[in-house]
Amino acid sequence: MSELLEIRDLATYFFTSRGVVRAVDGLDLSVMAGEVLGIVGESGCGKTILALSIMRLLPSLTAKVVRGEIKFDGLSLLDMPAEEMRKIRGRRISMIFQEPMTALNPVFRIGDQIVEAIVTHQRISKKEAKEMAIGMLSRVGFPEPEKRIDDYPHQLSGGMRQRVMIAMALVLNPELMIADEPTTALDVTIQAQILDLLRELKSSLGISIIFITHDLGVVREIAGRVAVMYGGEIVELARTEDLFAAPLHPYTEGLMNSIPPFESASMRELRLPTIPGSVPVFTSEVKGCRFSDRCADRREICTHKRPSLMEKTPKHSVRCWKYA
Amino acid sequence: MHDSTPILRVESLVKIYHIAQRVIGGRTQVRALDGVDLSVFKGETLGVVGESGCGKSTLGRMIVCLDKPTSGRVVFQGKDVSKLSGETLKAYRRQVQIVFQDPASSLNPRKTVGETLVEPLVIHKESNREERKEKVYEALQAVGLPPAYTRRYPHELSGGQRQRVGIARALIMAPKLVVADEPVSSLDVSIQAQILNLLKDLRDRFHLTYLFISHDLKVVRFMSDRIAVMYAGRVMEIADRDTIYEDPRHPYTKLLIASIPSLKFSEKPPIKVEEAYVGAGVVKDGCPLIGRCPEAREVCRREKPQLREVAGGHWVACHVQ
Repeated sequence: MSELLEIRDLATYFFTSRGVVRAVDGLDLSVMAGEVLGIVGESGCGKTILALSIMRLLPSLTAKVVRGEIKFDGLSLLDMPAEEMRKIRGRRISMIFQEPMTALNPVFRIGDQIVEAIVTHQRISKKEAKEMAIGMLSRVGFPEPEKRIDDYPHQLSGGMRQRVMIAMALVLNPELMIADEPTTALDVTIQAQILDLLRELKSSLGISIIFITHDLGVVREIAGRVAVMYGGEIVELARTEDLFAAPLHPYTEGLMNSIPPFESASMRELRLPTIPGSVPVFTSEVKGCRFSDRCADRREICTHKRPSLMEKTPKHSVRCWKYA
Repeated sequence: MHDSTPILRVESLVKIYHIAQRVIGGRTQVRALDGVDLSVFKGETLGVVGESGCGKSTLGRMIVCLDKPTSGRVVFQGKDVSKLSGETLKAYRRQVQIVFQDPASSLNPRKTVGETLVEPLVIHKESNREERKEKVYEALQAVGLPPAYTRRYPHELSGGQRQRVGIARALIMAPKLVVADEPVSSLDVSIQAQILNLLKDLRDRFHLTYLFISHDLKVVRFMSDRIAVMYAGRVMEIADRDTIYEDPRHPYTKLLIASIPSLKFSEKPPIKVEEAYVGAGVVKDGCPLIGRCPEAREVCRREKPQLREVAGGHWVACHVQ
């Protein structure tokens, strides 16, 4: 597999009245052609800001990529003029969001919204574009697309809206799709259907997907590799089966232990192991490991020297002094 | 674990909301609860699980008298609570408290934690000033917050801390029954674990009975002794915790369990169930699952299935069973 997206030392800061918030700080990551890369972390870990940095959709007044580079198929996304980026965004890299209701425009018919996405990038007639839209809707399991293409978003259920978003994101056959918590707002039975759909589309279209979620169960169902984020950096990166079989980073381990187990002989008495404290906001430069003040395994070095992401076993990297 | 006297009984509870349809000018009926029967036993945690719109929150609101049922009864320790008013309703509310999902919107942003916690004591004319202060500190300590937090405002707290305040507010009147309505769904996984542990500790320490409402099947299993599965305003299945997960009888329960994203590698059969176009609560006759159920038969179209006991303490509302 070849590298489709390569991120080197990315740092995205927010400049607020309360100081500089280091949302993403020194992040390295590669996405291979045809893979589903899961990015998992709690709120505030920087996972969405990473996605918006790649798409160049950061709020322009407050946020800025202060260093690093993002290479997509050899093109440097961060250095490219805005106009060039617009040709890539939606065409070669697309994105779907958590809330399909807010991502879709409520006053336009769903068909028109998909058609708009198509004609923005391709010189074809609206009639042809509409046919493409119907074909794609049918492809994502949207029943009777010819009839319902003129529906407004509010006429659809949450799962159907997300199918519309997926159709819109895939209709131009992009190489990379970024899915930011695409199933979080959905009920569990609908979530299972959307995950089935994404799996199927990934293997039939050969598309790469960055799948962002807070839910370890979901990431384990969909991703081939998983990056665990904490405090704006990646703390562990591994193939999914390796990560779940043997998590290395104390944070990953803590996260996994926080999930209620399915079986226990004494469920009523059972308590969950917890990570003390909560996810902090990093406003100043952190000398040591960002997880150190919550870590049960903290050593002297952890408080003053930042560990690097090191390969512990083949294809399994961890940012922790325990393994140095 | 719990004795056999129900502390609370819900009998044929129906709640119909009338919703204005602005475009047409008419009103539609939504049957949020469509005949719910269940009992909560003293000392147990009854989990109520279901997807959005199934009526689980409406059930919780009826129980704590935040809304009146259209028909049916909520019976607490032998008394019909929908008939309560004035002082008797006030007395009931001392004994039955609720913890809400989103602590950010259920705490008054203009009140300090101390003001929020002392309010129920003042309303119920509980003890004198000094004793009330003492009770506030005790409640804070019980939920793991330092006494200095009485002076903080909700926006100065993290999500987990706010939910601790929400729990302290429910506990301060020393209730017998606590309705916990999705108390951890707005929290991050690591914070969720802390709050779940706390709820279990408080249950043991104060001998509480919980009605624990959640959409998360893993969380419900961790918290509950018995579990009721709801769909479209009805209880579809009710049984002991392990029975629900190991021997589910209702097709909907089976679907829910098959949909849980798993941490283990296991081969799962693909789920083939249609997504309903219409929202819950609009089916008048027949099983509400009709149209989504792979096992549906003719009778399911005509008749609403009633809860039947299929084994000791295991009730299922399904014609196919």
